[in-house]
Amino acid sequence: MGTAARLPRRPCLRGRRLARAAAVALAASLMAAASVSEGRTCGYDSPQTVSQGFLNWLYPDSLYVVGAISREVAAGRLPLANFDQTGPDLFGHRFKLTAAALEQFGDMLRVASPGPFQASVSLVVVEPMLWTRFDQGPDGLRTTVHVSGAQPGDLVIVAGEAVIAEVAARRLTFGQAVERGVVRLYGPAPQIAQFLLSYSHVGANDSAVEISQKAVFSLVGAGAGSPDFASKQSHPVGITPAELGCTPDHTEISFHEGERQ
Amino acid sequence: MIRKPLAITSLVLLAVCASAVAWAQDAGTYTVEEAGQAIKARPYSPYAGRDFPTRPLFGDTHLHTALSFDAGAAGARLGPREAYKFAKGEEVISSTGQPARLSRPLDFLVVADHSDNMGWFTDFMAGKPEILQNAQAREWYDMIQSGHAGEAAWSIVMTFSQGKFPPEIIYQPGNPAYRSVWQSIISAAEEANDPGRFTAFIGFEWTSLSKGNNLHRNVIFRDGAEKAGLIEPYTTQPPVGSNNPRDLWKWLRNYEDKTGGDVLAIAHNGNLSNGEMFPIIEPVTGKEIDREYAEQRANWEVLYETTQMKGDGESHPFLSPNDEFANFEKWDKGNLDLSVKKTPDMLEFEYTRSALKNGLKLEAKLGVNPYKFGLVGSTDSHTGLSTADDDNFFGKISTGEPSPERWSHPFMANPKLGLKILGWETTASGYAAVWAQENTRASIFDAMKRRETYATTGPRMAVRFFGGFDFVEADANTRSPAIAGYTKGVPMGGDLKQAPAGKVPTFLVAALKDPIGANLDRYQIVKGWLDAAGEVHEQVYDVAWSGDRKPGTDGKLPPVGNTVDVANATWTNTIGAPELSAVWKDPDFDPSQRAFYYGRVIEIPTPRWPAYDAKYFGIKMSPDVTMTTQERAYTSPIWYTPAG
Repeated sequence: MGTAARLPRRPCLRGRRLARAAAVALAASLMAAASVSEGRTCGYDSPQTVSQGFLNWLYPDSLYVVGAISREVAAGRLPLANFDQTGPDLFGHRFKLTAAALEQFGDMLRVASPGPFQASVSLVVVEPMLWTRFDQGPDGLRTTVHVSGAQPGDLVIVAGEAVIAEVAARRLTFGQAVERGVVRLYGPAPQIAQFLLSYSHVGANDSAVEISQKAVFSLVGAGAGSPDFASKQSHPVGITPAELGCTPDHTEISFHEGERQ
Repeated sequence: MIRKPLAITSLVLLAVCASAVAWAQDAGTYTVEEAGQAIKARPYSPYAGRDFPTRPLFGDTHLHTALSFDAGAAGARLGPREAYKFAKGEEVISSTGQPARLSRPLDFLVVADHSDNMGWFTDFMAGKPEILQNAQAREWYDMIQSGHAGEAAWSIVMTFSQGKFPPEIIYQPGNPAYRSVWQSIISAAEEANDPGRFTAFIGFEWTSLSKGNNLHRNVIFRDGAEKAGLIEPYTTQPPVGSNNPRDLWKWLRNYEDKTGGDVLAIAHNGNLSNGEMFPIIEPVTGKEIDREYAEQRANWEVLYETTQMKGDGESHPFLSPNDEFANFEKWDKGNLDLSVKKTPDMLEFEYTRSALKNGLKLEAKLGVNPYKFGLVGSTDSHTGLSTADDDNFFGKISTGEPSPERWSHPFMANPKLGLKILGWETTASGYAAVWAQENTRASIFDAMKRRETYATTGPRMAVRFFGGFDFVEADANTRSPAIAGYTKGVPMGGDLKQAPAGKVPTFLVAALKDPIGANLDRYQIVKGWLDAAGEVHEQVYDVAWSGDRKPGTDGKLPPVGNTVDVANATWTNTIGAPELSAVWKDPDFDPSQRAFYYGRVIEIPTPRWPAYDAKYFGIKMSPDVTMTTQERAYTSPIWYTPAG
């Protein structure tokens, strides 16, 4: 895990439509090639959909962030995700934007807690199922965008693309995102609490840090505003947080091919 | 069917009165003539003694929960219990964390999870030891644990899709875990079933897929746990199961023989069968269907699900070029998995109207009409949420629940063939309406068996359709047309035999708008018939409509208008009519020709679900997205069969 490359060899975020179309296309072609096609329940099973579906079981109710993001967009408190914009995505621009936001988020984590990064964290951007890992590197916190998934013992963060972009742009704090349900954390309760204590203010502009810090203590002390916060945010016993990433062969898929339909 | 109890009631009344007459004669106060008058005179209440169904019951015969392999894999976490709660009108939290509630409770629900591998996914994700004993399952599980869950997901779906699932862990009849899942489904239905108020049917979906062609059937039991619990659902994977509908019918027969129970099957999505749903040449044998096929199909498949989220299947513009309403929620690009492109020659064997027409042809040849089915709509939702209203549409699968971008997601695509179905093309449809006397399993099932049902694309309009030879205009000018309907004719799903000399089939039609829905544009009757040369034909007649519109020289009624404000996802009931009724006499009747007639009720234009999404999320969609719709209902046909 944790490829040394900070960026993937090929971008995976050129549009959800592209990724899904390509994934389904791949599925369809493989299935057409199969000698036996009987027995399939329905024809719309795409790796992307199934990856999100698995996520909802492996990290129970993690797709609640989708509902929360939808609500925030409707309320005008969150912009649309770039990933979901229609139209051509020339030169992988959308991926670059998201990768930059994730890098920025990593930098903000490093600044927020300058010491050694104690616990490794894997973050999945739920729209494209893009995983990023934050761990301790030789020079401090290291951000690796586009890893295959979470490693055993990682704290797992489920978020949306626009959420990370907003935090990176200092228009939303991580703590606010948690409170609004657009971010969910999975791991042992003490690990979650420690992370929130350290990083809830990330995303605040400088003048807001102090206020934000107060909110952090409130968030942790009150179980993120919910008595069963910790239990909700923990992964199930017996299942180790793991990768659910982009389509398995994403690097082999031409996303443009799907878009040209 | 309804007339039978009426007749029995009359006979009983006659017997009772005759006794009274005898007694009265003893007393010397009553004559037979006087008694006769007493029998004929109706009580003050016109509804006293009424025993026909008085209101349609609305429900969904086709809902999937997390126990369906594909639904679970796509993130659905709601099980049968949550599905029933939602159908009963309670608020639930969807699989994407969104509070959801129906505008009104449903009257009944069939949780119809896919029988193949039913419950496997949820057990696997829970790490059930019995599954993990298998090397392949263990490998998948370890992949998940070691950071390769995406690949595991892919492998699981592909293995299942290709019929290569390890037989020792596949959830199918004979596997104790499978029985346990089936029992849990039965238990959920038993708990939710509330006779008189809400009916929870036990059922499952037999998911036959032949080379990507959809031949699915939903199986519904009239019975409770005491009988349905004696069996396990039929599957499609050999050697335990089969893809062949004939084998399903044998299984249904075995069920009834074994348990003394009752069961029926409802097919759906002929539009994704690439010409195999309503065959004349049987796909399995390559031969013309025979009398046995016709008998079995007519016996077990008395209903067809003609509208649902994967498109509407009543008619197609290629088959019905003169029908201006035929181009509605079409899904005609390929088969279910888009592995084979659709060609026009397939359409005849996919759509309701053409199947009904071919049924006449086959009946003339075989003596049995295999396609003598009534109509229902249902959702086929895979979210556990039975939503068919455009302003409350929770999508086909959980990842298609309300979100700003769901309209643009490819629902299906095969770039190799240039085929793609986008999210906005999914249809917020439909429900089954049943004219049952009581809200019980028995009563609803029996109404289904006699085809006294109709399909709606979501709205809960009340639709009556009676056929007979003696209806007169006055029968439509009453607040209770059903009294005349049941007394002088047969309801939807019924039969008219040889017309009396000089008589012509007349139809009493009536429709009331959905109480909280849109006004009605028109009530149409669709007729199909078989001529002396053995050719089938069709004609659509406008029989009742709103306003003072007059048909043009082409015979077409002008459009009703359009009040939809797409930007605000609203409309007004300033056009259309809240109710429509009429008596219509077939102007082209030939007593020697087999025919069918069914009603189609069209609402005024209203916003389609993407319009509600655009408004709620404040987004702009591409110009190709259909933003308005004309919801509708389709009644079961009434067949006319000449003597001989």
